[in-house]
Amino acid sequence: MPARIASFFRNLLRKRAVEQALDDELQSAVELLTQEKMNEGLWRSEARRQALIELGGVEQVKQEVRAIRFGRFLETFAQDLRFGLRTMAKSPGFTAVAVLTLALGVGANTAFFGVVNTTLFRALPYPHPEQLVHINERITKSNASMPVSYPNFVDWKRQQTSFSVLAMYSNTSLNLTTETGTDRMSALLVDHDFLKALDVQPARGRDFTADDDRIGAPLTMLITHATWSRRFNSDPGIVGRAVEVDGKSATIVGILPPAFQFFRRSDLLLPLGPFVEQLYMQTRDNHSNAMVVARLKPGLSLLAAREEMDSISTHLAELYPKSNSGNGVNLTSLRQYLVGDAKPRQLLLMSAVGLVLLIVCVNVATLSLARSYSRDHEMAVRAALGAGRGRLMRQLLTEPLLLAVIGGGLGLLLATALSATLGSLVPFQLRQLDPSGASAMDLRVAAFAFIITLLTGLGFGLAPAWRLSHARPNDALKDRAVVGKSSLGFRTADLLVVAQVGLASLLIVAAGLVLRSLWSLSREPLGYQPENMLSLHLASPAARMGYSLTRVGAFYEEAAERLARLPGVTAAAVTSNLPYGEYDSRTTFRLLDRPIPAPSEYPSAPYRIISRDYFRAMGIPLQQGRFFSGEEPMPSFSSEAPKLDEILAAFRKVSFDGIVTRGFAQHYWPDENPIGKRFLTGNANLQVALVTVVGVVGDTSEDKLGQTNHEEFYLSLRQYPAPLPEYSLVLRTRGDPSALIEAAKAELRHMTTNEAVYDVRPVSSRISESMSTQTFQTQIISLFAGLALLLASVGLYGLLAFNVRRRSREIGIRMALGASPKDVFESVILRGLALVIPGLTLGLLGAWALGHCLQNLLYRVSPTDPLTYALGALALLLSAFLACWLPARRAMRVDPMVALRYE
Amino acid sequence: MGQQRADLLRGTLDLLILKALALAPLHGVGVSRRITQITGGAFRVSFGSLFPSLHHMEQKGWVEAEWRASENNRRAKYYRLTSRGRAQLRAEERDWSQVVKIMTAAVESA
Repeated sequence: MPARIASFFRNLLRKRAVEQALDDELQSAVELLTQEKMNEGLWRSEARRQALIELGGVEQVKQEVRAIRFGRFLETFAQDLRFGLRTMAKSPGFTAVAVLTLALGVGANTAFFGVVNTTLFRALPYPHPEQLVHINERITKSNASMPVSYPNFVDWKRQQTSFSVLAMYSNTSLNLTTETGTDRMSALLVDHDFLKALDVQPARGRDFTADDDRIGAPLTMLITHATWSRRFNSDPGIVGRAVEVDGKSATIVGILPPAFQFFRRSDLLLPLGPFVEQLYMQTRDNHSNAMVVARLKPGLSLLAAREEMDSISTHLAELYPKSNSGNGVNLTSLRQYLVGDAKPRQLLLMSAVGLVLLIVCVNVATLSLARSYSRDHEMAVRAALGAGRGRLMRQLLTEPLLLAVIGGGLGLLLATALSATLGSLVPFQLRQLDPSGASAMDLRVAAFAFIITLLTGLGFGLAPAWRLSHARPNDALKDRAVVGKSSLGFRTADLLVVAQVGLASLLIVAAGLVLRSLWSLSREPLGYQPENMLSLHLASPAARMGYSLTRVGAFYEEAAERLARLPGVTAAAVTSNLPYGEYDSRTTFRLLDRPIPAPSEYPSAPYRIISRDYFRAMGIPLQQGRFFSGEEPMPSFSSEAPKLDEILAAFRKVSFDGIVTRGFAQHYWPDENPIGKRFLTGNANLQVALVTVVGVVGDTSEDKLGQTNHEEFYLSLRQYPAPLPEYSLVLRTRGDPSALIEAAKAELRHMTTNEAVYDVRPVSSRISESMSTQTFQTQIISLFAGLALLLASVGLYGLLAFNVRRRSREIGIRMALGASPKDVFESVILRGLALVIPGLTLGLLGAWALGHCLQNLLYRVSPTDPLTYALGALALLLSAFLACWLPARRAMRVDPMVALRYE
Repeated sequence: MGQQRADLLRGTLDLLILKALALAPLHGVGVSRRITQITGGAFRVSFGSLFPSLHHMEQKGWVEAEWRASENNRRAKYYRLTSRGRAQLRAEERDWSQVVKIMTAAVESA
């Protein structure tokens, strides 16, 4: 072994001395052989010739000896590297194109992989994240999910055995008051076990206890590290101090660690118990805004937990048939819940960007294959001088790998730059968990970049390398003019162009389908006019007003009246749920003119609580009956802060006016006059409001684009001032709504300085935001398709142009023999089309076959939409024609005299 | 002996070289000549295989090289078997007789 190591270093470090020794040895061998031949009676010159023949060439023997040296690999590698760099420097045009397209391909792929990695692979920032489960309730009949009712949660917690911890959380916003002032903060009302479920401990202070989480317990609070530093200047003495939350005193018991993140906005954490009464959560029928996160016991499967929860839920439905029948539970792994429906879209984009990389590969392969023809002669000389096939192959692969590594390095930079932009593709809730760098690089992403770089280099380097290393020196050296004629390589290049065209057409069709789907989505009538509308949130003054429903209702109505009086505003109204806002309300009900349904068969519909001018402000047309009058009888509550049964008692004495959408009327009273019809909200257990239909308005899409169900109804705030954390306002303006933002804020500040006014912006921006991910994805895939088209055209052009240059002598002869420029032109175009047509056909067939994968991403467009296919094919043909036309024109202008002299 | 046969017997080249060097140190041309001699002229090694083999053995420490004057007073690189080289030679001889025994038995059984 020491001998081996010694020779390894000698070979590497003292290369010149080693080479010298080898040369000496062989020279001495030649001398010895010559002497031998002379001794046999030959003349010296003849003896030397014979000696060289017997030795088989000094250089060849040297090469054989070098090949077995240790450390040989590194040395050849360095040699190849130098050679590769030299060749690259010799053709800067090719190098630039190759490196740039590779950087683009690797960069885009790496950046997208970053997004996919964050969405699908990266672990959630809690210990043993695979044990975390999201639980909500669902209506079995429609499989619509709904929040968890508090008493159900309490029963689950008591009866289940599958989870080590089960914790409810509900997000809300609160006023936080300290010496420095009042701020609107987002808060999470949580079960005292919440942090235990996530397996997180406070960095300072203590966690909540069961005692903090009781009805009537004094308020305690945990604050996030960010809140601690922003709102309390990182004051270490803050733990144990009391602050004011919605007018009540609350003690800060702890500070969360800086790394703590949750997928709902949360500046503060408070135990849920003290809020249960105020939020009317004791009733089993109230499913409002609360979800459950649970941690599976080690080794237990989600399936087993699901089974147990199903049986508990069935049991509860037997115990409480009126409130619980028809309800089920829904268990998903927390990750699955957070990823939601992002997976298919991301996979579509990832496949698209993967296709682009494939096209880049094929493109660079075509270019280097075409270029390799000019190197036939060089390779033949090398082979003749004793270079082995393997050695040539290795050298020829070094260059593309070098290109790939440079391109990949640039690509990695590009990916880092892109990842910030692409971050918005990560589902919102997952982004909340990692606000610092949603799709930042990690080891997996870097490994991905490295691997695709290598594969890319091999991918485009293999074909030319294989072709060249198999060149037969005899043919190549004999006649330079014949080189490569109709040889294997050209057929390969043809196939590569066909592949490029095929892949590009596949992408174009996919992009076309997604584009058309976005177009029809944005053209969908909304049922109202979102232009010239301003919207804002106004925090509820409930705590300040002692939870008086009437006073809170009046507060919001006053806000609407004040805003309506602003110059430039034509109407203003209150709404419980802004269009494309974060809240939605839904209730079960039954029709009074139908038999009472079984408890599990109650229909449900979304509803909005609005003030009188809502329809005028929104621009929703009245189709039948009338709008709210503002004169409706109000319920009178027996106390200032009514309990749930007091509210229900007051509601029972009032007849509620309701306005339904056209869709609602048609679904429930087809062919009947809906005006005067009555329905009762609530369920079999709890009857809330008896509503009489006074008007029918047009259908609207206020919740999401492409909304298909428009069955909805409206109640007036005057009659139904439900205790919500906050209401919002909409304003119809004469001109640009953004111009009124400051005026609206100022007007509300005149009215109150206690309640925060926030998120003031045009309704149109909420709509475009709700479409933004889709718009962005569509833009990206269109960009890819455009890129693919460009690359395929460049590939086609490159091959044809090279072809024309190579055949300029032949073209010259043909023209000298009487072929017209038109014939030449046509022959080039035909040759191009002979590559384009099969590629296009294959691409369209591929799109047709794969179209169904796009199905659930498309809106009102069939995956086999003929128009999209036709337009895609047209776009491809046009750019292909351009790519053929340029070389064809050059061929036509070949001067026979010049061409013949040139060769 | 033709080139193809020589290729077939490439595995035996190391053994022949070690055997050739077993008697006395030799330079490359000398090794070639000695092999021709001990195989009764049946085996002619090409220098394109001989020199790489010698260098290979040198790296493995089976042979040592030194420069000295040749029989007709020219400087030449002489190779000498080391103790490890001798051990290698014995091992290869053993293997070879094993192969011959097995192959002979197999061929004669037919």
